[in-house]
Amino acid sequence: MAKFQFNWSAFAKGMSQVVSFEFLVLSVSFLGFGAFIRDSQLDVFQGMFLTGVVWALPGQVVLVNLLQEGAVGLTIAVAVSLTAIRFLPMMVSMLPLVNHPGTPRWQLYLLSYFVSISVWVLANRHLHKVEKSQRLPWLMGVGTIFWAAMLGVTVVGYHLAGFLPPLLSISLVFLTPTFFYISLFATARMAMDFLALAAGTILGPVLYFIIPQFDFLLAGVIGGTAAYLIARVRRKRNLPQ
Amino acid sequence: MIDPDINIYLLIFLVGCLPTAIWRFLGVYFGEKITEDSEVFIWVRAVATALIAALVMRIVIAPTGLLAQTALSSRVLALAAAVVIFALMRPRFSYSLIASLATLYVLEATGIRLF
Repeated sequence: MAKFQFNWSAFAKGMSQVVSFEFLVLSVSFLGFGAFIRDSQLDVFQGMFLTGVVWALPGQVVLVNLLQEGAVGLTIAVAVSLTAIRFLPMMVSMLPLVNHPGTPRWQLYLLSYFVSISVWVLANRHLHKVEKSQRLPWLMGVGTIFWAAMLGVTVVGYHLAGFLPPLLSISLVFLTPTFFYISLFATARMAMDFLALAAGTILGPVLYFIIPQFDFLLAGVIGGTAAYLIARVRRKRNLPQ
Repeated sequence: MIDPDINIYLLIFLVGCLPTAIWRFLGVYFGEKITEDSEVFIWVRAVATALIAALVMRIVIAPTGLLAQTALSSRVLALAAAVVIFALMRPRFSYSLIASLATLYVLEATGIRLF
């Protein structure tokens, strides 16, 4: 087995993704988060700490909201955890792309810490262009530079909040979900991806009104499985007998 | 109101960091067992796609934080504008995001609320 060596040049190339559309959109979102922190009862250092250790914007917002409402710790932990379940299928779907033979396991776990939806989107768009043995260091470079930069952006957003018109800050916050949604269209490669996208879009709101605690989780599992099965039946039918 | 006696940093670690990181680590644990061309991989990709679409819908229908101050119709129309512009301009992203931003801003600034 080939001895594994961490490819620092691929890591640096990943870091150069700091000049990317994903980075710009993420920065705008974290500016919004900084402004949101100023609006809450937390200070700027606590805001930075949140970004640093949670590193998942929806969970961070939920945490701050519930903290202010005086919710008990367990309630907050469960709510935050529900918003983070998406990382399980995201990591499972990404790992075979980066898991080159001989990769030390701890590097995979370390990488997972730095993966956010934005990094996942970027991976879906660019990973196929990166040679397989270089993918892990490349993504690690993307993840760490994004993470480090957003610590700073949180601070900038906190201090900028006093200057931006409130409506502009609010509109900027909506950029991130829009970006996630459009990126699903942009990275869709087969009919199944579009089916899954449509299924999640329709089932999400329906399930929200029935079981609001588990809406997007169930919409993901039910909608995704339905899309997979429909696509699979069509695939099998098209195969020569 | 936040209880002034609690250590916010410790709390953030316990109720923010750990509940999030566990899913990342479980993803690596399960992801190691499958390969790129396996059926499980294709299924998981479909689940991840549907889940994120539904997560966006949740933010549109029931947002938390600053977005909660906007009207539902503004958010729905802003997202719809992004999708339409993306369909027309693909594969370029930027116009669709500008369309979303502008739609939300104008609808909120003018106070037009359809639903």
